[in-house]
Amino acid sequence: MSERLAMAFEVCLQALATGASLEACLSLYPDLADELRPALQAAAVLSRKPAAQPAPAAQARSRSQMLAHATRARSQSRWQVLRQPLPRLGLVLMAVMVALVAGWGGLTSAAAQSLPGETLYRVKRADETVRLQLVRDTQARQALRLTFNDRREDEARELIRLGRKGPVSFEGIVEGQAAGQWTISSLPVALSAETQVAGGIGPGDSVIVIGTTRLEGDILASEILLHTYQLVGPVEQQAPSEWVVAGQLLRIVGASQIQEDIHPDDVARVLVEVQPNGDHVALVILSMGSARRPPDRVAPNGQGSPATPPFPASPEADDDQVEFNGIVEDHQGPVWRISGRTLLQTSDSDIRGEIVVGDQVRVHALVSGTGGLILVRIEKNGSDRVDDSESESGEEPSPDDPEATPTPEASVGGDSSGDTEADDPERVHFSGTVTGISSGQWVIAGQTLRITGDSQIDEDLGVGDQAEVRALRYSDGHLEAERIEAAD
Amino acid sequence: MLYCAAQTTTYLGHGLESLKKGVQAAGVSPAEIDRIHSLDTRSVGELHDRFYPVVYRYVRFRLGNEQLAEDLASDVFIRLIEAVQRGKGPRTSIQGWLMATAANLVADYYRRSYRQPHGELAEELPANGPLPDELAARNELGVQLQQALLSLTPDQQHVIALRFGASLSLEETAASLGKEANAIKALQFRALAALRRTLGDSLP
Repeated sequence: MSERLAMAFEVCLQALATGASLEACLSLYPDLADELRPALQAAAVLSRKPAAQPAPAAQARSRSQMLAHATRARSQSRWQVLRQPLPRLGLVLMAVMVALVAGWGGLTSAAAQSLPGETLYRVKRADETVRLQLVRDTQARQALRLTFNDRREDEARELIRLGRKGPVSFEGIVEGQAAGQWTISSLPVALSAETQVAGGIGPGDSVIVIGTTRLEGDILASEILLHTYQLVGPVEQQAPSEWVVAGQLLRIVGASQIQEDIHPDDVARVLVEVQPNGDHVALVILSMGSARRPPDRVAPNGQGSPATPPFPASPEADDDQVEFNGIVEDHQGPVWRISGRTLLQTSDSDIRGEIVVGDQVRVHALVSGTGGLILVRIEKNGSDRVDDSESESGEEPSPDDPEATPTPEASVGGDSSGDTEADDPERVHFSGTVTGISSGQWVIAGQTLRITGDSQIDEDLGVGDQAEVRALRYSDGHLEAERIEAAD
Repeated sequence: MLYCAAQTTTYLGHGLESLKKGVQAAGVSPAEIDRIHSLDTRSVGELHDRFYPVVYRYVRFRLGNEQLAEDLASDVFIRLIEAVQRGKGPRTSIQGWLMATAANLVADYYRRSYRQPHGELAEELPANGPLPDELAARNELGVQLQQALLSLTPDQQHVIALRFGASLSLEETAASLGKEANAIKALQFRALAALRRTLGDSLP
């Protein structure tokens, strides 16, 4: 389209809009008339359509709806802040002050794409720390933590892709262990003579990798640690935020569960989680009495060489056994809450099938000398009846206990349908709150769902929404989403 | 979705100058966009007052039905609040974002309905004046025109609706689509020529 034709066309359009006739317009450009005529004829027809004006009542209605939505949106944001307990509110206020003073929002936005070793990377990590501390709901916090860990892995991939050296740390699953070269969460991790590796790590273990990306296109690991380990030893120091047990500095956080009346020189049994930043966080600290025992770390998979046994896996003289039926109310890391009782899962706990919050289960536990419950075995209860009855006889599970094999009906709260061939996935339905969305997976009602190309997902769904799920559960326990839609 | 993606791609391609033009053509300052993102009541109300008529005209032109147009135009503004709440929404051109969203909703409507809007232009014609024969002829033309519009490509339908339905200027249309004015001229010229061919002998 020539510039002159374009200009003539626009002039004619404006002339038509002011009421000029088509022929009058064309007479302005006789040499272009043949080219202009068809398009202008169509334009003339369209111009004759009267301009639609909105009805004032409809416009007012729409305005009210929009303002109501805006008000709700504002109040929801405010409510999310006010729901935080006081210390969190303090953090919010602090964050707001930082935002006001230092333009935190813009800074964190700019830092979002930064990579390890870059100037703004510390801002990115600080922002994540604040965001984690502001989330009260444990499931949502866990989902956010996973999202941030995905970022760590992506950063490592990006550094490798760019051929840059940079410090990286992330949690991952050990997928392969060739000599000197492991694969962890699909990332190549090289081991050297200097690499510190906690004993007993095997395929499938969840580990913390701390290392540096190399020009060779991999990560040279300085440390590969089991995500959680157990520590038994004397309590050497006690402070509100830090303990030292068996020479290991342990950070105490809000979620740490600490038995009362533990004193210096007591022997404690600690379940420790290693953070990607290298911190060792005490999840649970139980007293073992005042007798000193040599300290030792015990690999969760039992492949280490413990000098002392891990959390009791078999009845001991001072331990009673207990069995009961109950409903799983909460499950965070190694800590289970079942029908009001808190149980500690150990490396030797026998978890039969995939058990989720809301499941009816049968529990076999040990009562330690200090009164804590150590989980020995947990399995889904095939019966709908939950009598919460218990026996403290130390007997093995009664003959009518359900088999460990999960049943389709009990797999996830809600109905279930579909074939249950041995190797075929079973179709499950459930509903709940969306607590996490990351690349390739969603977390709904505490269930992690893999998203495939065939998964159908309502595009408007977001974290915090109620959703209904139809999914396939495979024999290895993983769930694959078929359909995720907003709950009515 | 088609239009959103197209708009985003185009914005990326044309860079800052195009974005500035978009903001200027829509008459919205970056500060005003910031206020929308804060969901300030006054700013939200003013935005609605300012853009509802143009969004309504656009949707009405595309659908040819008053009730539907009212519903969808209202939906566009609800989507804006929801997008802002999710930390999304317009960053450069509010009008461009609103019109792209309107185009998406119209496209969704046609996908859902699987029907052609027969006879829906009849309401656009004057209720008095024409004789019954003339009115019938105009109705027939209206139906054919609506069908002919649906035969255009999505981009062509969008630009024709922006120009002739929403009555946007060339510059505003270019800003809404994130394109240069010359590109809009060529696009609408081709669209109108195609429309004329589709209408054939039915034009008076």
